Amino acid sequence: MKRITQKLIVICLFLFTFSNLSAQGFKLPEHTKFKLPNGLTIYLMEQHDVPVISVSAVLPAGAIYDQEKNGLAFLTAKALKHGTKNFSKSKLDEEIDFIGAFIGTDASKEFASVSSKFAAKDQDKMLNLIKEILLDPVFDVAEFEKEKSRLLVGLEQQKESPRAVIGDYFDKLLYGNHVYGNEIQGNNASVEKLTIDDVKSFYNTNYKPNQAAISIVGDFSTKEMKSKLTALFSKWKKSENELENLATKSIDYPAENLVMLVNKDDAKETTFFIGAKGIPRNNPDFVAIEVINTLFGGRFTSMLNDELRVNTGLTYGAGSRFNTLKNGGSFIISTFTASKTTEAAIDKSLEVLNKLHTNGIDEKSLTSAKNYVKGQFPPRYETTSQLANLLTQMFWYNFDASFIENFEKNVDSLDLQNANQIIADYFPQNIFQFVLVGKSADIKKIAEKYGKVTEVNIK
Amino acid sequence: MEFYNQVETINGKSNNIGTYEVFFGDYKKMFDAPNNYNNIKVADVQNVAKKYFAKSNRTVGVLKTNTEE
Repeated sequence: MKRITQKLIVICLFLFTFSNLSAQGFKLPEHTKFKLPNGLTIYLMEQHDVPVISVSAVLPAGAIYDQEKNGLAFLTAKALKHGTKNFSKSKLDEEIDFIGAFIGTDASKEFASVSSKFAAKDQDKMLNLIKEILLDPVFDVAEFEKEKSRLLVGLEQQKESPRAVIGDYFDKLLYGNHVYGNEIQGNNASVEKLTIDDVKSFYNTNYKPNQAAISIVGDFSTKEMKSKLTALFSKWKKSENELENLATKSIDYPAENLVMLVNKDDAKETTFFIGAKGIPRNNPDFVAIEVINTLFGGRFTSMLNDELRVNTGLTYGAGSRFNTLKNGGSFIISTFTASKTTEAAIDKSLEVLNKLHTNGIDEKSLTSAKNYVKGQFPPRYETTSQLANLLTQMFWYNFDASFIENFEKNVDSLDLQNANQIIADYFPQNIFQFVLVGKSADIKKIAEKYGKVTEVNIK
Repeated sequence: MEFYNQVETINGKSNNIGTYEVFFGDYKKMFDAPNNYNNIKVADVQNVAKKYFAKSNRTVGVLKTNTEE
């Protein structure tokens, strides 16, 4: 009997240690990274749970490369799907649709991306189509004109929605002449001028393998996939000279408070951003900043939403976020309110931020924010598409597996003293940039209270 | 693909397991779903259409401008 009890204790101890071990933090699943001779970086990660495959590709072809032609990167990305050497647009759409697959092309501020998802059994067909789209697009002129007029109509429609345009105004205000101020979709005047030749020349300059990456995650064998991709993408010619990256130029953040007042004559409410300089994506305090921002303006029960929505009823929702790019970033408080409560809402937002600085935060709310952030984390890296995106993000922003593997540690080790240091270091205190979209006649006087006002009509 | 997309997440997995258990009597039937989809013939779709897309099953809504105002 005694022996059995001893055995049980040993087993229990073993199980206890084991379960403790397995509960110890997140781990980035095993994957392979290699480079083709033409410089293309490839990531492969096997995930056999469900018979699907996701692909994510990033290329140095975002709005920061637009030069004077705002909107060009965006239109070029969309035009990749307008037909290829071996597939007309309708044939291409049909092939993809018929097997329930997906290929999307897009351009963001910094990079262009291609993402795709399909059943594992369709991998040969789909990988070939992705290769066609990336290497052999033909840029059909009729399709280009259609895409361009759709974009122009879209830009026109955005004028109806302050929330759709406020980000562009803010980036212009904060980043000034730096390419991070470029609007992704351009503006009416710039898009009007774009031609199919612009698209072709942008493609020829920017869609090159040597600063690009493709990640593939899903139900495949790494060895086979490696030879398939090598066969498909080795023909891709690398660029002769390194692309000039204007985004690495230093950013002149404004040294004083500026207010951009965007007049929308029929507005009954004011939509506003209060922002400042933020952080680049690979800032070592990224995770700690996320925890504090969750508390301040990230979640529904944040300080901002509590005060502006729950306690004062000034808005339906208020929040804050750090938008991170490779070489810089912004911090933004955003909300909207009735025209007549514009001043109250702006003052209240600044008051809550000021409270964060003067009162700091307490142990209880810090613990709660830490738990919240940890609870939200795992479902963000669950599916094959999410993992494929993570890998290309790691490539673009130059961070590694430690982001995943040290995540819990970084959250847990954040104590009150560190937290208050993070607030002092990264949350703006003195210099703010304001964008107010609303009826100028009603709010101009108020706008002048916060800084030097520039007034424009909604574009 | 829609089914595969759903069962990629823990949320989708639990949802599907529950749905198959409650509506089809056994959660294990979930694992036959891809096969069952593959086995559907054109005639099956036509039969279902005939059965359910009947006039007696129809509800029609009409949006009309209020001209009296």
